[in-house]
Amino acid sequence: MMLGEKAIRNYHLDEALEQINQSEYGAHHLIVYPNQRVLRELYTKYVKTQLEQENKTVLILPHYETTDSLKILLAAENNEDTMKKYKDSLIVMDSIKGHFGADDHMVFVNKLVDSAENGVLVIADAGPFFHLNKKEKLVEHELSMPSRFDMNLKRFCVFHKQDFNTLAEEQRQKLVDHHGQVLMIED
Amino acid sequence: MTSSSNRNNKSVLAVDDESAIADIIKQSLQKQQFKVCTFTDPFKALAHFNSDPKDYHDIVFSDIRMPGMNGYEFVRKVKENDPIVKVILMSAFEINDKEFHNLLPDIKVDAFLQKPFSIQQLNNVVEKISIYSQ
Repeated sequence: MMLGEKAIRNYHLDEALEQINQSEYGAHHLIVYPNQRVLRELYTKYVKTQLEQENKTVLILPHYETTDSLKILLAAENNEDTMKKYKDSLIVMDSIKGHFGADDHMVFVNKLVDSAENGVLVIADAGPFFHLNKKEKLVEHELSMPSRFDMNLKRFCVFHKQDFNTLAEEQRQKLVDHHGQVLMIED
Repeated sequence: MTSSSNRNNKSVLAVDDESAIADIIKQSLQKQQFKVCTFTDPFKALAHFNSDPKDYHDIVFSDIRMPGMNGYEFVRKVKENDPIVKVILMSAFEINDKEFHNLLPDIKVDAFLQKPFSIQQLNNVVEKISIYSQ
């Protein structure tokens, strides 16, 4: 699929995981997921690696999943000792609070980057912008961040396919052009 | 109390992007003699709702956070077609009054159901709505 100048490739989840595992600090990618089941699989497989092997601080902002259910999901994939060990390095924040709460989560992310020894991974669902009918604000928010961060941060902006498809072509194009890589995950 | 004889004529449409929730609603309310159709996609649910005769559905259940079309928009469109249909909004999230009034002004929602809910809670809310719609 072509949108503007950039080619958008479709990936199976395993291929997408391979791509994001190879991403380096500074990465600011856009991921379109087909359904909640695939996103859950991505959370469990990728976050586990980032916590255990890379020792990163991970911040997840889910939208269609409550923070509690995501924590339960991640705990089911790890034993109790592992979860205790990563208590401080795994942070789950509701995406509406993170994007529209008292403090923008990027202020928090900058503080995390300063304090985290091994860098920070952020997976942020763009769902709140659709839920609150703020699509223009979404484009503005994304474009306010650099295409590549100049710090120890990887950020993956995740969009449900049905949300992404409601954007105007011009909005999609701006988002696609602005992100380092665009991964469209197939079911 | 609503007797099962008049429930036989009542029709419920439910939409939730979590198929497990849609399935629970279907199984529970079918046992209570309701006619139930469920969807995980709000666009398909709306198309189905609009294709049925006006006033066909008595109760509509809708999740709030759904991709593509949220529960507020879904309810607004349903009410445009059938202003008297009873509406129950469901959410696993805290229901934010400010958000609700901003996104759904002037639309009457008959009940809220906080997830996770028990079968008893589901039956109770339907019972309440059914009494009022007799």
